[in-house]
Amino acid sequence: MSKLYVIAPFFVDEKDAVLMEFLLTLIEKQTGENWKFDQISTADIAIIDVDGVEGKAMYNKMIQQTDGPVPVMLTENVSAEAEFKLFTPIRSADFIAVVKAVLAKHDDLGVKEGIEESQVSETQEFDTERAVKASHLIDELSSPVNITFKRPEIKRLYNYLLENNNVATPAVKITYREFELFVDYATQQFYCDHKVMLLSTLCKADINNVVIQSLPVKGLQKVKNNIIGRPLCELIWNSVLLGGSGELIEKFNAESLFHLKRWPNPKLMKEFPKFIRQKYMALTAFMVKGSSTIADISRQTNVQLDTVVDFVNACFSVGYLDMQPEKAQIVKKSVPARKERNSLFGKIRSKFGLREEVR
Amino acid sequence: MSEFKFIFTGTPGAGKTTAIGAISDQPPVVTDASTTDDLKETKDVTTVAMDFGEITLDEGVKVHLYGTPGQERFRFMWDIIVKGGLGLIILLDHSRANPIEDLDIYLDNFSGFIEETGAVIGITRMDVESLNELDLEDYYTHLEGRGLALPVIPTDVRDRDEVLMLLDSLMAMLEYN
Repeated sequence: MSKLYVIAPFFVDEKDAVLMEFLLTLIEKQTGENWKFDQISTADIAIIDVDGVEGKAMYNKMIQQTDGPVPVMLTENVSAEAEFKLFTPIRSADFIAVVKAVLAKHDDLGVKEGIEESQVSETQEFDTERAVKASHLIDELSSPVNITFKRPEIKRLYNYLLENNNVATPAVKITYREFELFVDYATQQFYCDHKVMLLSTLCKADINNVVIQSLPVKGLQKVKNNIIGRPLCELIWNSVLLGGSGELIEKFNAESLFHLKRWPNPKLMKEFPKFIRQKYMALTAFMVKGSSTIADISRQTNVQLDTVVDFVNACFSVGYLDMQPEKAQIVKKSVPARKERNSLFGKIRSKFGLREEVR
Repeated sequence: MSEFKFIFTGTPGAGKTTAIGAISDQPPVVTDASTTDDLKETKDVTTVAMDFGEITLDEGVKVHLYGTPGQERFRFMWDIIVKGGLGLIILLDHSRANPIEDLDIYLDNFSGFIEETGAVIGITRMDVESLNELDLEDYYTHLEGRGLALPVIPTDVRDRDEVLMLLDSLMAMLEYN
Protein backbone atom coordinates (compact mmCIF):
# COMPACT_ATOMS: atom_id res chain seq x y z
CA MET A 1 0.00 0.00 0.00
CA SER A 2 1.56 3.32 -1.00
CA LYS A 3 1.80 6.33 1.27
CA LEU A 4 1.29 10.03 0.79
CA TYR A 5 3.98 12.28 2.23
CA VAL A 6 3.81 16.05 2.50
CA ILE A 7 6.81 18.38 2.47
CA ALA A 8 6.32 22.01 3.47
CA PRO A 9 8.74 24.83 2.69
CA PHE A 10 9.07 27.66 5.22
CA PHE A 11 10.83 30.95 4.41
CA VAL A 12 12.23 29.17 1.37
CA ASP A 13 13.03 31.21 -1.72
CA GLU A 14 10.44 30.62 -4.44
CA LYS A 15 13.02 29.30 -6.91
CA ASP A 16 14.27 26.75 -4.39
CA ALA A 17 10.67 25.73 -3.77
CA VAL A 18 10.14 25.25 -7.48
CA LEU A 19 13.25 23.11 -7.74
CA MET A 20 12.24 20.97 -4.75
CA GLU A 21 8.76 20.44 -6.12
CA PHE A 22 10.26 19.33 -9.39
CA LEU A 23 12.67 16.95 -7.62
CA LEU A 24 9.79 15.38 -5.70
CA THR A 25 8.36 14.18 -8.99
CA LEU A 26 11.65 12.34 -9.54
CA ILE A 27 11.52 10.84 -6.03
CA GLU A 28 7.96 9.68 -6.71
CA LYS A 29 9.19 7.76 -9.72
CA GLN A 30 12.06 6.24 -7.72
CA THR A 31 10.11 5.25 -4.61
CA GLY A 32 6.61 4.61 -5.94
CA GLU A 33 5.25 6.68 -3.04
CA ASN A 34 3.18 9.83 -3.50
CA TRP A 35 4.50 13.23 -2.51
CA LYS A 36 2.82 16.54 -2.06
CA PHE A 37 4.64 19.84 -1.78
CA ASP A 38 2.48 22.25 0.13
CA GLN A 39 2.92 24.86 2.81
CA ILE A 40 0.63 23.29 5.34
CA SER A 41 1.21 22.83 9.00
CA THR A 42 0.34 19.12 8.94
CA ALA A 43 3.33 18.29 6.77
CA ASP A 44 5.59 15.33 7.45
CA ILE A 45 8.77 17.20 6.68
CA ALA A 46 9.36 20.95 7.03
CA ILE A 47 12.18 22.50 5.07
CA ILE A 48 13.12 25.75 6.78
CA ASP A 49 15.48 28.35 5.44
CA VAL A 50 17.34 29.38 8.61
CA ASP A 51 19.40 32.17 7.07
CA GLY A 52 16.76 34.70 8.13
CA VAL A 53 15.71 35.55 11.68
CA GLU A 54 12.20 34.10 11.34
CA GLY A 55 13.39 30.86 9.80
CA LYS A 56 16.00 30.39 12.49
CA ALA A 57 13.43 30.92 15.24
CA MET A 58 10.99 28.54 13.61
CA TYR A 59 13.63 25.87 13.18
CA ASN A 60 14.72 26.15 16.83
CA LYS A 61 11.15 25.78 18.02
CA MET A 62 10.38 22.94 15.68
CA ILE A 63 13.34 20.78 16.74
CA GLN A 64 12.03 20.96 20.29
CA GLN A 65 8.64 19.55 19.27
CA THR A 66 8.24 15.82 19.16
CA ASP A 67 4.96 15.59 17.29
CA GLY A 68 5.42 18.15 14.52
CA PRO A 69 6.98 17.84 11.09
CA VAL A 70 10.58 16.66 10.92
CA PRO A 71 12.59 19.85 10.40
CA VAL A 72 15.24 20.02 7.71
CA MET A 73 17.60 22.98 7.91
CA LEU A 74 18.23 24.88 4.68
CA THR A 75 21.23 27.18 4.85
CA GLU A 76 24.19 28.69 3.05
CA ASN A 77 26.35 28.11 6.10
CA VAL A 78 28.35 24.96 5.45
CA SER A 79 29.41 24.68 9.10
CA ALA A 80 25.83 24.72 10.46
CA GLU A 81 24.98 21.81 12.75
CA ALA A 82 21.73 19.93 12.23
CA GLU A 83 20.53 16.35 12.03
CA PHE A 84 19.05 16.94 8.60
CA LYS A 85 20.42 19.79 6.55
CA LEU A 86 20.58 21.02 3.00
CA PHE A 87 22.82 23.67 1.58
CA THR A 88 21.90 26.37 -0.88
CA PRO A 89 22.21 26.36 -3.82
CA ILE A 90 20.37 23.06 -3.51
CA ARG A 91 21.87 20.10 -5.33
CA SER A 92 19.43 17.54 -6.67
CA ALA A 93 21.37 14.60 -5.21
CA ASP A 94 21.56 16.22 -1.75
CA PHE A 95 17.84 16.90 -1.68
CA ILE A 96 16.95 13.35 -2.63
CA ALA A 97 19.47 12.00 -0.08
CA VAL A 98 18.12 14.09 2.79
CA VAL A 99 14.52 13.11 2.06
CA LYS A 100 15.50 9.45 2.03
CA ALA A 101 17.48 9.90 5.28
CA VAL A 102 14.45 11.41 7.01
CA LEU A 103 12.24 8.55 5.86
CA ALA A 104 14.80 5.97 6.99
CA LYS A 105 14.82 7.40 10.49
CA HIS A 106 11.11 8.20 10.79
CA ASP A 107 9.19 5.26 9.37
CA ASP A 108 5.92 6.51 10.90
CA LEU A 109 5.64 9.44 8.50
CA GLY A 110 3.07 9.69 5.73
CA VAL A 111 -0.54 8.66 5.41
CA LYS A 112 -1.35 5.29 3.90
CA GLU A 113 -3.62 5.73 0.94
CA GLY A 114 -6.83 3.72 0.94
CA ILE A 115 -6.74 3.03 4.72
CA GLU A 116 -9.72 2.10 6.87
CA GLU A 117 -12.14 4.84 7.93
CA SER A 118 -11.33 4.46 11.64
CA GLN A 119 -7.67 4.93 10.92
CA VAL A 120 -8.43 8.02 8.88
CA SER A 121 -10.26 9.73 11.70
CA GLU A 122 -7.41 8.91 14.10
CA THR A 123 -4.96 10.42 11.65
CA GLN A 124 -7.15 13.46 11.19
CA GLU A 125 -7.35 14.06 14.95
CA PHE A 126 -3.61 13.85 15.19
CA ASP A 127 -3.21 16.17 12.24
CA THR A 128 -5.66 18.70 13.64
CA GLU A 129 -3.76 18.93 16.91
CA ARG A 130 -0.50 19.27 15.04
CA ALA A 131 -2.01 21.89 12.73
CA VAL A 132 -3.14 24.07 15.64
CA LYS A 133 0.30 23.99 17.25
CA ALA A 134 2.07 24.72 14.00
CA SER A 135 -0.30 27.50 12.96
CA HIS A 136 0.29 29.25 16.31
CA LEU A 137 3.98 28.99 15.65
CA ILE A 138 3.63 30.49 12.19
CA ASP A 139 1.42 33.35 13.46
CA GLU A 140 3.91 34.09 16.22
CA LEU A 141 6.75 34.36 13.74
CA SER A 142 4.96 36.26 11.01
CA SER A 143 5.93 39.89 10.62
CA PRO A 144 4.83 42.64 8.21
CA VAL A 145 6.66 42.67 4.89
CA ASN A 146 8.56 45.86 4.07
CA ILE A 147 8.66 46.96 0.45
CA THR A 148 12.35 47.42 -0.20
CA PHE A 149 14.31 46.71 -3.32
CA LYS A 150 17.47 44.75 -2.84
CA ARG A 151 20.47 45.24 -5.04
CA PRO A 152 22.42 42.31 -6.44
CA GLU A 153 25.21 41.28 -4.07
CA ILE A 154 26.73 38.64 -6.28
CA LYS A 155 26.81 38.18 -10.02
CA ARG A 156 25.01 35.21 -11.42
CA LEU A 157 24.71 33.42 -14.74
CA TYR A 158 22.21 35.90 -16.13
CA ASN A 159 24.52 38.84 -15.34
CA TYR A 160 27.28 37.09 -17.23
CA LEU A 161 25.07 36.24 -20.20
CA LEU A 162 23.75 39.78 -20.46
CA GLU A 163 27.17 41.37 -20.20
CA ASN A 164 28.58 39.14 -22.92
CA ASN A 165 25.59 38.82 -25.22
CA ASN A 166 27.23 40.03 -28.38
CA VAL A 167 27.44 38.14 -31.64
CA ALA A 168 31.21 38.79 -31.69
CA THR A 169 31.77 36.96 -28.37
CA PRO A 170 33.31 33.52 -28.94
CA ALA A 171 31.27 30.44 -28.06
CA VAL A 172 31.76 29.20 -24.49
CA LYS A 173 31.37 26.09 -22.40
CA ILE A 174 29.86 26.76 -18.97
CA THR A 175 30.40 24.18 -16.23
CA TYR A 176 29.16 24.13 -12.66
CA ARG A 177 29.14 20.95 -10.59
CA GLU A 178 27.31 18.33 -12.69
CA PHE A 179 25.87 20.89 -15.09
CA GLU A 180 27.30 21.70 -18.47
CA LEU A 181 25.98 23.94 -21.17
CA PHE A 182 27.27 25.62 -24.29
CA VAL A 183 26.48 29.07 -25.58
CA ASP A 184 26.96 30.21 -29.16
CA TYR A 185 26.44 33.96 -29.20
CA ALA A 186 26.97 34.20 -32.96
CA THR A 187 23.83 32.16 -33.69
CA GLN A 188 22.08 33.13 -30.43
CA GLN A 189 21.64 29.49 -29.48
CA PHE A 190 22.47 27.44 -26.41
CA TYR A 191 22.95 23.71 -26.08
CA CYS A 192 22.16 21.75 -22.97
CA ASP A 193 21.05 18.20 -22.15
CA HIS A 194 19.17 19.21 -19.01
CA LYS A 195 15.70 20.59 -18.65
CA VAL A 196 15.92 24.28 -17.84
CA MET A 197 14.33 23.75 -14.42
CA LEU A 198 17.26 21.56 -13.41
CA LEU A 199 19.64 24.43 -14.11
CA SER A 200 18.28 26.24 -11.07
CA THR A 201 21.43 25.45 -9.06
CA LEU A 202 23.66 26.86 -11.77
CA CYS A 203 21.45 29.93 -12.20
CA LYS A 204 21.64 30.76 -8.48
CA ALA A 205 25.38 30.18 -8.15
CA ASP A 206 27.95 32.96 -7.81
CA ILE A 207 29.36 33.29 -11.33
CA ASN A 208 32.88 33.36 -9.83
CA ASN A 209 32.42 29.70 -8.91
CA VAL A 210 31.32 28.76 -12.42
CA VAL A 211 33.91 27.59 -14.93
CA ILE A 212 33.63 29.36 -18.28
CA GLN A 213 35.91 28.31 -21.11
CA SER A 214 35.99 29.44 -24.71
CA LEU A 215 34.96 26.75 -27.13
CA PRO A 216 36.94 26.14 -30.34
CA VAL A 217 35.04 25.85 -33.63
CA LYS A 218 35.54 22.08 -33.79
CA GLY A 219 34.28 21.64 -30.26
CA LEU A 220 31.22 23.74 -30.99
CA GLN A 221 30.46 21.71 -34.10
CA LYS A 222 30.66 18.51 -32.08
CA VAL A 223 28.19 19.93 -29.57
CA LYS A 224 25.83 20.97 -32.38
CA ASN A 225 25.96 17.47 -33.81
CA ASN A 226 24.87 15.95 -30.52
CA ILE A 227 22.53 18.41 -28.85
CA ILE A 228 19.61 20.31 -30.31
CA GLY A 229 20.07 24.06 -29.99
CA ARG A 230 17.54 26.30 -28.29
CA PRO A 231 17.19 30.09 -28.50
CA LEU A 232 19.59 31.89 -26.18
CA CYS A 233 16.83 34.25 -25.07
CA GLU A 234 15.11 31.20 -23.55
CA LEU A 235 18.17 30.57 -21.36
CA ILE A 236 18.49 34.24 -20.42
CA TRP A 237 14.80 34.50 -19.58
CA ASN A 238 14.83 31.38 -17.42
CA SER A 239 18.17 32.13 -15.78
CA VAL A 240 16.78 35.43 -14.52
CA LEU A 241 13.60 33.81 -13.20
CA LEU A 242 15.45 30.91 -11.61
CA GLY A 243 18.49 32.84 -10.40
CA GLY A 244 16.97 36.14 -9.34
CA SER A 245 15.98 36.70 -5.76
CA GLY A 246 13.98 39.87 -5.93
CA GLU A 247 16.97 42.05 -6.69
CA LEU A 248 15.98 44.90 -8.96
CA ILE A 249 18.30 45.73 -11.84
CA GLU A 250 20.21 48.84 -10.87
CA LYS A 251 18.84 51.25 -13.46
CA PHE A 252 15.33 50.97 -11.98
CA ASN A 253 13.87 52.23 -8.74
CA ALA A 254 10.58 52.19 -6.86
CA GLU A 255 9.11 54.93 -9.10
CA SER A 256 10.06 53.28 -12.38
CA LEU A 257 7.13 52.46 -14.64
CA PHE A 258 6.97 49.19 -16.48
CA HIS A 259 4.96 48.37 -19.55
CA LEU A 260 5.19 45.08 -21.36
CA LYS A 261 5.24 45.64 -25.10
CA ARG A 262 4.90 42.00 -26.06
CA TRP A 263 3.46 38.89 -24.56
CA PRO A 264 6.21 36.37 -23.65
CA ASN A 265 5.67 32.99 -25.23
CA PRO A 266 3.82 30.92 -22.60
CA LYS A 267 5.87 27.93 -23.75
CA LEU A 268 8.91 29.59 -22.15
CA MET A 269 7.21 28.94 -18.83
CA LYS A 270 5.99 25.45 -19.61
CA GLU A 271 8.47 23.74 -17.30
CA PHE A 272 7.49 25.86 -14.31
CA PRO A 273 4.87 24.45 -11.94
CA LYS A 274 1.31 25.63 -12.57
CA PHE A 275 1.14 27.97 -9.59
CA ILE A 276 4.19 29.88 -10.82
CA ARG A 277 2.95 29.91 -14.42
CA GLN A 278 -0.32 31.41 -13.24
CA LYS A 279 1.55 34.23 -11.54
CA TYR A 280 3.61 34.97 -14.63
CA MET A 281 0.51 34.89 -16.79
CA ALA A 282 -1.30 37.29 -14.45
CA LEU A 283 1.71 39.63 -14.47
CA THR A 284 1.85 39.52 -18.25
CA ALA A 285 -1.86 40.17 -18.67
CA PHE A 286 -1.68 43.11 -16.29
CA MET A 287 1.54 44.61 -17.62
CA VAL A 288 0.53 44.64 -21.29
CA LYS A 289 -2.41 46.87 -20.40
CA GLY A 290 -0.35 49.88 -19.33
CA SER A 291 2.50 51.27 -17.24
CA SER A 292 2.70 50.65 -13.50
CA THR A 293 5.24 50.66 -10.70
CA ILE A 294 6.43 47.38 -9.25
CA ALA A 295 4.52 47.95 -6.03
CA ASP A 296 1.32 48.62 -7.96
CA ILE A 297 1.77 45.55 -10.14
CA SER A 298 2.28 43.45 -7.02
CA ARG A 299 -0.77 44.91 -5.31
CA GLN A 300 -3.14 44.56 -8.24
CA THR A 301 -2.11 41.07 -9.29
CA ASN A 302 -1.64 39.70 -5.76
CA VAL A 303 1.79 38.44 -6.74
CA GLN A 304 4.55 38.86 -4.20
CA LEU A 305 7.06 41.63 -4.75
CA ASP A 306 10.13 39.42 -5.24
CA THR A 307 8.39 37.50 -7.99
CA VAL A 308 7.31 40.73 -9.71
CA VAL A 309 10.86 42.05 -9.58
CA ASP A 310 12.31 38.88 -11.08
CA PHE A 311 9.65 38.88 -13.79
CA VAL A 312 10.37 42.52 -14.65
CA ASN A 313 14.10 41.77 -14.78
CA ALA A 314 13.47 38.78 -17.06
CA CYS A 315 11.30 40.83 -19.43
CA PHE A 316 13.92 43.59 -19.47
CA SER A 317 16.70 41.09 -20.20
CA VAL A 318 15.05 39.81 -23.37
CA GLY A 319 13.86 43.22 -24.56
CA TYR A 320 10.14 42.87 -23.84
CA LEU A 321 9.84 45.97 -21.67
CA ASP A 322 8.87 49.29 -23.14
CA MET A 323 11.62 51.67 -22.08
CA GLN A 324 9.89 54.84 -23.22
CA PRO A 325 9.35 57.14 -20.24
CA GLU A 326 5.62 57.31 -19.70
CA LYS A 327 3.20 58.69 -17.24
CA ALA A 328 1.53 56.13 -15.06
CA GLN A 329 -1.62 54.76 -16.59
CA ILE A 330 -4.20 53.48 -14.25
CA VAL A 331 -4.96 49.97 -15.33
CA LYS A 332 -8.63 49.21 -15.12
CA LYS A 333 -9.46 47.10 -12.12
CA SER A 334 -12.03 44.40 -12.32
CA VAL A 335 -15.45 45.92 -11.79
CA PRO A 336 -18.31 44.03 -10.16
CA ALA A 337 -19.93 43.42 -13.56
CA ARG A 338 -16.83 41.47 -14.54
CA LYS A 339 -16.92 39.31 -11.43
CA GLU A 340 -19.33 36.83 -12.98
CA ARG A 341 -17.03 36.39 -15.93
CA ASN A 342 -13.89 35.99 -13.81
CA SER A 343 -15.62 33.44 -11.63
CA LEU A 344 -16.54 31.61 -14.83
CA PHE A 345 -12.85 31.51 -15.78
CA GLY A 346 -12.07 30.08 -12.35
CA LYS A 347 -14.56 27.28 -12.99
CA ILE A 348 -13.11 26.57 -16.43
CA ARG A 349 -9.61 26.40 -14.95
CA SER A 350 -10.78 24.02 -12.24
CA LYS A 351 -12.46 21.77 -14.78
CA PHE A 352 -9.34 21.45 -16.87
CA GLY A 353 -6.85 21.31 -13.98
CA LEU A 354 -5.40 24.68 -14.95
CA ARG A 355 -5.72 26.00 -11.41
CA GLU A 356 -3.49 25.16 -8.50
CA GLU A 357 -3.47 26.56 -4.99
CA VAL A 358 -1.62 29.87 -5.05
CA ARG A 359 1.00 30.01 -2.34
CA MET B 1 -28.76 33.12 -18.10
CA SER B 2 -26.33 34.85 -20.47
CA GLU B 3 -24.53 32.78 -23.08
CA PHE B 4 -20.82 32.30 -22.58
CA LYS B 5 -18.85 31.59 -25.69
CA PHE B 6 -15.34 31.58 -27.04
CA ILE B 7 -14.74 32.00 -30.76
CA PHE B 8 -12.18 30.11 -32.82
CA THR B 9 -11.28 31.60 -36.17
CA GLY B 10 -8.37 31.40 -38.59
CA THR B 11 -7.14 30.12 -41.88
CA PRO B 12 -8.74 27.10 -43.54
CA GLY B 13 -6.91 23.96 -42.46
CA ALA B 14 -5.35 25.57 -39.38
CA GLY B 15 -7.23 23.18 -37.10
CA LYS B 16 -10.21 25.05 -35.67
CA THR B 17 -12.44 21.98 -35.74
CA THR B 18 -9.71 19.83 -34.15
CA ALA B 19 -9.02 22.45 -31.46
CA ILE B 20 -12.69 22.63 -30.49
CA GLY B 21 -12.89 18.85 -30.48
CA ALA B 22 -9.86 18.68 -28.15
CA ILE B 23 -11.62 20.51 -25.31
CA SER B 24 -15.33 20.08 -25.99
CA ASP B 25 -17.24 17.69 -23.72
CA GLN B 26 -19.12 16.28 -26.68
CA PRO B 27 -17.79 15.66 -30.17
CA PRO B 28 -18.27 19.01 -31.92
CA VAL B 29 -21.14 19.55 -34.31
CA VAL B 30 -19.39 20.14 -37.60
CA THR B 31 -20.87 21.43 -40.81
CA ASP B 32 -18.35 20.31 -43.38
CA ALA B 33 -18.59 20.09 -47.14
CA SER B 34 -16.22 18.87 -49.80
CA THR B 35 -13.68 21.44 -50.84
CA THR B 36 -13.93 22.64 -54.38
CA ASP B 37 -11.39 25.44 -54.52
CA ASP B 38 -7.65 25.85 -53.93
CA LEU B 39 -7.95 24.02 -50.62
CA LYS B 40 -8.54 20.76 -52.45
CA GLU B 41 -4.79 20.09 -52.32
CA THR B 42 -4.65 20.13 -48.52
CA LYS B 43 -8.12 19.27 -47.24
CA ASP B 44 -10.89 17.01 -48.39
CA VAL B 45 -13.60 18.79 -46.45
CA THR B 46 -13.90 22.29 -44.99
CA THR B 47 -16.26 24.03 -42.57
CA VAL B 48 -18.94 25.97 -44.45
CA ALA B 49 -21.13 27.26 -41.62
CA MET B 50 -19.59 26.80 -38.21
CA ASP B 51 -18.35 24.30 -35.66
CA PHE B 52 -19.97 24.04 -32.31
CA GLY B 53 -18.61 22.53 -29.11
CA GLU B 54 -19.66 22.77 -25.49
CA ILE B 55 -18.07 22.67 -22.05
CA THR B 56 -20.30 21.97 -19.06
CA LEU B 57 -19.16 23.39 -15.73
CA ASP B 58 -20.40 22.99 -12.14
CA GLU B 59 -24.04 23.88 -11.58
CA GLY B 60 -24.80 23.17 -15.23
CA VAL B 61 -23.16 26.34 -16.55
CA LYS B 62 -22.34 25.85 -20.20
CA VAL B 63 -19.60 27.47 -22.24
CA HIS B 64 -19.99 27.29 -25.98
CA LEU B 65 -17.12 27.02 -28.41
CA TYR B 66 -17.83 28.36 -31.88
CA GLY B 67 -15.60 27.88 -34.88
CA THR B 68 -16.03 30.25 -37.79
CA PRO B 69 -15.65 29.03 -41.34
CA GLY B 70 -12.08 29.81 -42.35
CA GLN B 71 -12.54 30.85 -45.94
CA GLU B 72 -12.87 34.57 -46.46
CA ARG B 73 -15.92 34.15 -48.69
CA PHE B 74 -17.83 33.17 -45.55
CA ARG B 75 -16.87 36.33 -43.71
CA PHE B 76 -20.51 37.45 -43.50
CA MET B 77 -20.84 34.69 -40.88
CA TRP B 78 -18.07 36.07 -38.70
CA ASP B 79 -19.97 39.07 -37.33
CA ILE B 80 -22.93 36.89 -36.49
CA ILE B 81 -20.86 34.31 -34.63
CA VAL B 82 -18.78 36.72 -32.50
CA LYS B 83 -21.78 38.58 -31.12
CA GLY B 84 -21.66 38.25 -27.33
CA GLY B 85 -18.39 36.29 -27.40
CA LEU B 86 -15.92 36.40 -24.48
CA GLY B 87 -12.77 36.36 -26.58
CA LEU B 88 -11.14 35.19 -29.78
CA ILE B 89 -8.64 32.45 -30.59
CA ILE B 90 -7.05 32.95 -34.01
CA LEU B 91 -5.41 29.86 -35.51
CA LEU B 92 -2.98 30.34 -38.37
CA ASP B 93 -1.52 27.66 -40.61
CA HIS B 94 2.18 28.55 -40.59
CA SER B 95 2.92 26.47 -43.67
CA ARG B 96 0.87 28.69 -45.98
CA ALA B 97 2.51 31.14 -48.37
CA ASN B 98 1.94 34.27 -46.29
CA PRO B 99 0.59 33.69 -42.81
CA ILE B 100 1.29 37.30 -41.80
CA GLU B 101 -1.10 38.44 -44.51
CA ASP B 102 -3.55 35.84 -43.21
CA LEU B 103 -3.15 37.26 -39.72
CA ASP B 104 -4.00 40.73 -40.96
CA ILE B 105 -7.27 39.48 -42.45
CA TYR B 106 -8.44 38.31 -39.03
CA LEU B 107 -7.02 41.28 -37.11
CA ASP B 108 -8.79 43.66 -39.51
CA ASN B 109 -12.09 41.84 -39.67
CA PHE B 110 -12.31 41.24 -35.94
CA SER B 111 -10.66 44.52 -34.87
CA GLY B 112 -13.69 45.82 -32.96
CA PHE B 113 -14.21 42.53 -31.17
CA ILE B 114 -10.49 42.21 -30.30
CA GLU B 115 -10.39 45.75 -28.94
CA GLU B 116 -13.44 45.11 -26.83
CA THR B 117 -12.36 41.69 -25.56
CA GLY B 118 -9.02 40.17 -26.48
CA ALA B 119 -7.40 37.58 -28.68
CA VAL B 120 -4.73 34.93 -28.61
CA ILE B 121 -2.94 33.65 -31.70
CA GLY B 122 -2.11 29.98 -32.13
CA ILE B 123 0.40 29.13 -34.83
CA THR B 124 -0.15 25.63 -36.17
CA ARG B 125 1.76 23.34 -38.53
CA MET B 126 5.11 24.85 -37.60
CA ASP B 127 6.60 21.38 -37.80
CA VAL B 128 5.80 20.76 -41.46
CA GLU B 129 7.48 22.03 -44.57
CA SER B 130 6.55 25.63 -45.06
CA LEU B 131 6.08 27.85 -48.11
CA ASN B 132 7.70 30.76 -46.25
CA GLU B 133 10.81 31.64 -44.26
CA LEU B 134 8.99 33.16 -41.29
CA ASP B 135 9.54 32.31 -37.65
CA LEU B 136 7.69 33.14 -34.45
CA GLU B 137 9.56 36.39 -34.01
CA ASP B 138 8.09 37.70 -37.27
CA TYR B 139 4.57 37.40 -35.89
CA TYR B 140 5.55 39.33 -32.75
CA THR B 141 7.31 42.03 -34.76
CA HIS B 142 4.27 42.40 -36.97
CA LEU B 143 1.94 42.69 -33.98
CA GLU B 144 4.23 45.25 -32.35
CA GLY B 145 4.07 47.24 -35.57
CA ARG B 146 0.30 47.26 -35.26
CA GLY B 147 0.53 48.30 -31.60
CA LEU B 148 -0.82 44.99 -30.34
CA ALA B 149 0.55 42.87 -27.50
CA LEU B 150 -1.17 39.54 -28.01
CA PRO B 151 0.10 36.08 -27.10
CA VAL B 152 1.48 34.15 -30.08
CA ILE B 153 1.81 30.49 -29.24
CA PRO B 154 3.07 27.65 -31.43
CA THR B 155 0.34 25.07 -31.06
CA ASP B 156 -0.38 21.49 -31.99
CA VAL B 157 -4.17 21.50 -31.88
CA ARG B 158 -4.23 17.70 -31.61
CA ASP B 159 -2.73 18.09 -28.14
CA ARG B 160 -5.42 19.02 -25.61
CA ASP B 161 -2.90 20.66 -23.26
CA GLU B 162 -1.75 22.98 -26.01
CA VAL B 163 -5.30 24.05 -26.82
CA LEU B 164 -5.86 24.63 -23.09
CA MET B 165 -2.76 26.82 -23.03
CA LEU B 166 -4.39 29.03 -25.65
CA LEU B 167 -7.58 29.21 -23.64
CA ASP B 168 -5.76 29.90 -20.37
CA SER B 169 -3.74 32.72 -21.95
CA LEU B 170 -6.92 34.24 -23.33
CA MET B 171 -8.66 34.07 -19.95
CA ALA B 172 -5.64 35.66 -18.22
CA MET B 173 -5.82 38.50 -20.71
CA LEU B 174 -9.57 38.97 -20.27
CA GLU B 175 -9.31 39.06 -16.48
CA TYR B 176 -7.61 42.46 -16.65
CA ASN B 177 -9.88 43.98 -19.30
